[in-house]
Parts: sequence; C-alpha cells; structure tokens
Amino acid sequence: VFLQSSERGNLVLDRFTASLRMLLAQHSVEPLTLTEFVVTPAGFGEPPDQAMVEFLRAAFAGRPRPDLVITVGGAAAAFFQRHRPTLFSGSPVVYASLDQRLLSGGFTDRETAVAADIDPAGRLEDIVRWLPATENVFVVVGGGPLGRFWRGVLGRESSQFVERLQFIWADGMPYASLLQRAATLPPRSVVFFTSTFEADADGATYSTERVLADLRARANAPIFGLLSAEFGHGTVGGRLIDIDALSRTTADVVFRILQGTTPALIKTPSRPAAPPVFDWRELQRWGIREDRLPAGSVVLFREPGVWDRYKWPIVGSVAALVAQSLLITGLLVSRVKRWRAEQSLRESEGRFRVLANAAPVMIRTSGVDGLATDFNVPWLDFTGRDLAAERGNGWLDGVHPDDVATAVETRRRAFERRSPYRMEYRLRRADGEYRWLLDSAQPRLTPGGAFAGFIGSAIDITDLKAARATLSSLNRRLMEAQEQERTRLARELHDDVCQQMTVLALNLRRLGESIPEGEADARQQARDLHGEVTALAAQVNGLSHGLHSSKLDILGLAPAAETFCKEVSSRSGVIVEFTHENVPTTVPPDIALNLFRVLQEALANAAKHSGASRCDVSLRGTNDHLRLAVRDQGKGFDTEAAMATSGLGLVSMQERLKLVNGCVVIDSKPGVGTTIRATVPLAQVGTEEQGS
Amino acid sequence: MRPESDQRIRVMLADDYAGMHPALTRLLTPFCEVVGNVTDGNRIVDDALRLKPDVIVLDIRMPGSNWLETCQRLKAVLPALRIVIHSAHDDDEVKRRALEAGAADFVSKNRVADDLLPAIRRAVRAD
Repeated sequence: VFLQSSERGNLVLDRFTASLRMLLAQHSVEPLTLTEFVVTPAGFGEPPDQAMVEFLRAAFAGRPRPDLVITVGGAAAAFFQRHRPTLFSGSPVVYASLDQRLLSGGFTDRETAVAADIDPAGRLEDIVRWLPATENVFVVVGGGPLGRFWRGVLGRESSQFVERLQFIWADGMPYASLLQRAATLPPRSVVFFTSTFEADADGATYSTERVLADLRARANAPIFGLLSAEFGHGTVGGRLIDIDALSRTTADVVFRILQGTTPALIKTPSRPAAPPVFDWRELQRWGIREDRLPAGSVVLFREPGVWDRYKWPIVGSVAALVAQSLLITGLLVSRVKRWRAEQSLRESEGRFRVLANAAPVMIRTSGVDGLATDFNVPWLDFTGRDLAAERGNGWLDGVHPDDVATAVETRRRAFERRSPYRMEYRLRRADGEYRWLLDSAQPRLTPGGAFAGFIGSAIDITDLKAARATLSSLNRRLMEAQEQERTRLARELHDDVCQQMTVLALNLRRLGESIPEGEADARQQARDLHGEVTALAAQVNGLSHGLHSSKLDILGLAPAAETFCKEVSSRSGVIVEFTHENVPTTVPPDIALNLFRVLQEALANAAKHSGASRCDVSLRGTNDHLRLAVRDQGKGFDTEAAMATSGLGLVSMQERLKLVNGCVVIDSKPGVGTTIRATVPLAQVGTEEQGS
Repeated sequence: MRPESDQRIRVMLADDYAGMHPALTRLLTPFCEVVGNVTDGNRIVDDALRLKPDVIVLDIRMPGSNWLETCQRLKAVLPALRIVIHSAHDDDEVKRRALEAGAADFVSKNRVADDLLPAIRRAVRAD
C-alpha cells in the first residue's frame, strides 16, 4: 500500500512514486499488487484526519492486511504515524521521505525510514560561493503545513547568513503577489525554491510544476532548487537530492522487508545531495559563467547551438554545396581549358595560315594517304589554279611529264617510311613555263605523336639551277684555262728554256775544252759554269714537270697511269693493282689529261682516307668510250654528305669530266668501300695535233 | 750499211729546237758526221730513208709525232738504224719504254755532253 502525501501534480513525489513503482515491478520475483491512497496535504501534522482513517479501514475490510505499507512524503508519514496503532497493524512500514526532519523518531521494530538530507544551509552556502555577488534571497516556501514546517527550518538555518544576505520570505504572500515579487526582485538576487508551495497564503493549492513554471516565466533572478526532480523545469541546479537514487534505495529496502528482514534492522543513512549539476539554459539565461561552477560540475540541457542542432544538415548541405561547387568549378575549368585549347589551336592554326601565306615559299600539306590537303597562297599564285584543283593528286597535273614518275615514286617511298624527303622537279607556272622546284617535306605528327601526313615546302630553283650551271661551266673553263696555262708554261720551260740551257751547257763545255791545258784556272771556271748551268736546267725541268706532267704526253695514258699507280703504291704502301685493256695509244690529250687527273684524285683519296690496303685501278677502252674504275674496299663514306661538305675533290672530278663530256659515278657506302667510275666518250679520237 | 771502224759515224739529228743542232754538231763533229737535222716530227722517217744515217739521235718530244710510234716505224723500215733517244725526262719508265720500242740507248739531256758520244759509239759497236 502506498500512502501518498499529495495528489498527482507534485513533481517530486510523483517522480519518486513513478520510479519506485517501476523498480518494484521490474525487480519483484512475485507479482505485487500496489494500491495507492492519497492522504490530503491538509492533514499534515493536523489531526483529526478521521475520515481518511475510516476510508482506509473500509477499503481493507475483509481483505488481508497489506504485506507492506509505504508512505511517500512527510504528510503521509505524519498521518500514518498518528494512526499507526489502528491502521494496518502488523504490516511493516517504510517511511520514505525527502528529509529526515519530516520523520519524527520512535519507530517500532516493524518500521524503517529512507530519507535524504536536504541541507538548505549547505545549498545557501553553495549559492554564496558560486555567485558571490548575491545579496538577496527570495525564499519560495508555501503557506501550507509543509511550507510552514520548512519555513521554520529555513528560518533557523538562514540565520547564519543574515550578515551577508537579505532574505525575502514568500510564505506570507498570495500566489499573485509572489509572482509579482519574483518579477521585481532587486539586483543580485536569487530565488530559493523549496518545492513546498502546496498552498499560498490564501490557502489556494498549486502544483510544484505550475509554481516553478510561473516563477521561471516571471522571476528576474535565477531559481535555485533542492531536488533533482525540479531540475530541468527552471532551476539553475547545484547539489540536489537525487530522487531516483532515493527511489532505488527505497525499492531495495522494500525488497529486503518483503524477503523477511526485520524493518528495524534496516538502517538507511540519510542520503546527502548529489554532485552538482547545472542547467545550461539557465546558466546562459542568467549569465552565469561555467568557469565559476565547482569542479566536477555536470552541465546538462546544453542547448545545442545552430551548429550543434543543425550540424549534420549543415555538414551535409555544405558538403553537397562544396561537391556541387567543385563539380561546377571542374566543369567550368574543363570548359575554360577546352575553350583555351580550342582558342589556342585556332590561334595556332590562324598563325600558321598567316605565316604560311606570308612565307616566300610554296607550302603543301598532305594526309596519311599521301593526298594533298592544303596549299598556301604562294603555291596557288604560282600555279594559278584554285585549291580544289590542286587538292588530292591534282597538283601532279602541273608537274612536268618527265618528272612525274620520279616525284610520285619519291613521295611513295617517303610516305612508306614516314621519313623526310627532298626532290627536284619541274612544275608548270601560271604563265605556262615549267620551273624547277626544290621540294622538301617532313612528316607531320599529331600532338599525340601519331603520323598525320607530310608538310612540304617548295622553292623555285630555276634561276639557282641556271646559276649553278653557269658556275659549273665557269668552273670548268677556269680549270681548263688553268690546265692550259700550266701546260703552256711547262712546255715553254721544257721546250724552250731547258733546251736553251742544254745548248748553253754544251757550249760552256766546248769553251772549257778550247781553253789551253796550261790555263787550268780558266778551264776549271768553264767546267764550274757548265755544272751550274746543267744543275739549273735540271731545276727548271723539275719545275716544268711539277706544272704539267709531260710523262702523260710522252708515255700515253695507260703507261702514265700505270707509272702513277706504281708511284702511289711505293709512296703510300697501299697495293695498287693496275690493269688496262684496249686503251688506244693516242688518246686526245684533254681526255687523257682529265682522266689522268681523276685517277690522281681518286687514288689519292683512296690511299689517304679509305684505310684500305689494296686498290684496284682499271682502264678499259671500248669502241667509243674510255672507262676508268678505281675501287677500294675501305671504310667508304656518305657520298651525298661528302659532296655537300668536303667533296671539293669529288666535285672537281665531275667538273673535269664534264669538260670532255664524260661523267663520274661515285658509289660508296660506309663500311663497304668506294668505287669511282669515270666514263668518257672517244668520239673525237683522232690524230690530233699536239700543239707546242 | 756497216761503217768502218775508222770511218766516221753518220749521225742524223731529230730535234725541234733549232739551237740544239749546231751545239750537238759541234759536240759530235770530231768523231761523227752529222748528216742532217730534222725539226718536223712528220718528216723523220722520210729523212732517215733518204739520208740513211748509222745513228739517229731522237728527241722524244717532237711536234707532229709520237716518239714510240716513230721508233717502231724507223725500226720497221731501217732495221740497221741505231736509235739513241735523248730527252729531258730522266725517267726509268721512259727509258724502259724507249728500249722496248727498239731504241739502242737513252741519254738524259742533262748529261748530253758526257753521255751522248759514248752512247752513239756503243750503239754502233753493239751491232
């Protein structure tokens, strides 16, 4: 049986009862029948409450007495103690109360008590310590029996604070005045709420919950309560009596009694206040700084800020926003990049077009299939045809019929190998004249490195070719003139000067012999003079030989060539094998001379550069040609490069043979060796006069 | 034709240089009879046939003729004729070819004064 001190609506007692009922229901081995009665608060400490006693007796008439009576709150305890002898006699009793002060002592061995120690003085002490500026304490205490009881307790305990605090007592106020007063408290006030306002001065009753709610709405100062049950309903907090803990203790005691323990043997120390807890909302409201709170304080109901409250939505939104922004930025960046790339490509193409059209050369691009794709303006200006006509293989229409095959073949090979090429061909100009072009092309690659065709440029080299031909002919004539002049000088020296000196020497000799024997000095002088002149003649003769080898004239081409080969062989150590066949004894001197010069050059090169140990020279006459071949198996060379750079000797060979309508073919490959073949037509072979 | 040992050797000169003729004539006269001098290469064989010298002193550089061919022709028409080549080309190859072509001897022009007469004498004796 529960005997309650108040109707439902008392925050603290309701909480306690609910908690206890729950604990009993949960932990009971056997099902318990719980019956609850409310003893009117008015009956607290105020007999007679006969009506209630009668009611309870009537309620349990004909029923077994309860296994246990639990009183909740001070009023119920006082009521039951007054009627103990006549009510539920024999049943054990647990007096559960918030404060041991409410229980008057003198329990029988069937009675025990569970209570807390509210300790109002300690709580006031706490307030003063935490809020040292506090000057006024508005004590909310009810006008009913419980209120009056606590008014007495507080009145006594507050006396120790009178020097530091001004106390304002609400027990003499009607409810409206109380709220009014709470709203107009002087600065540095606190509201000290006691949970005892079951009735105001006018006797009107109010639930703790309502009082607290109204106070919290009206009061201009923080509210300090005493019990954990009020906490969260408007009190700031502090060290509070833990109602739930009290319930647990009570439940424990209940079970022990039900299991047979004698109640009197159960001594439960009164429970002190729990470690301090605070309501964050109230701290915020009253500007109480958390660093002023005692160490170990727990701050509850921390109202989440916007961040805390909307953390995940915010995080989510921000993340989505960021992701979206990134995506948009990425797209924009990519678009901008692409746009720039396109722009750059367009610019680059534009620049290229401008450049190509401004270049003084003709430019042609071709695709991978070898078909021409584009021509610059200078090309189109040159041919006088439009782009459409030139595209593909159209441009080949303008190539000279004799050059088309070579041009097509050269390009075909280059496209196959994808290697640069150069070619010369004649292309019809707009005015119908064929002009020689030097066309050189390079493979084109895509940015990725793939073959994209060729780009070629061509320049008109007609004038260059003419100039080259002129130069070549001039060269030949120069060489010819030089050769003639040397020959003339050599002959002059040999045929004239040397002869004269020979005669002079003979005459000197004769002169010496004509001098009488006795004149030895004069004879000696004549002999010396003869010797000097002879020596001089030999010198001049040597000079003549140096200018022009008369051996060729004297011996003829084949013997002279043979002699020369022997000389080179003995001089250089290279074995020179000379063979000849059908060489006419009388070869026109210019042909003989130029072939001989080619032999000299070729053999000198072979001996000097080839590194070969052997060289074969052959001279062959056919019906109408003379052929000279100089072959070595040395290291060889790149003929084109040699012609272009250091090949003066090679060039002069060609030029020399051009003088006699001959030609020279140089066949050389690095590592394979070199063969030089010179061919001269003998059309004008005859008994030409060897002029002096 | 075979000259007596005490008979003077009949020598024909073939040299295109005009000054050479009197000089050689003076050189040879004490021992030889210089029967003629030809300066035109084309006339050598004809003159030799006409004058029938014992020895012909031939310069290898004669305008209008190839000396090797001339040698061969002379040997063909006048087998007894001794040919002494003289030349400014003191060259073994030339010398060898001269001898191959039928010449009796080869004398360098530098050494004409000393070598020509002995060469002529040797040529005649060698017969």
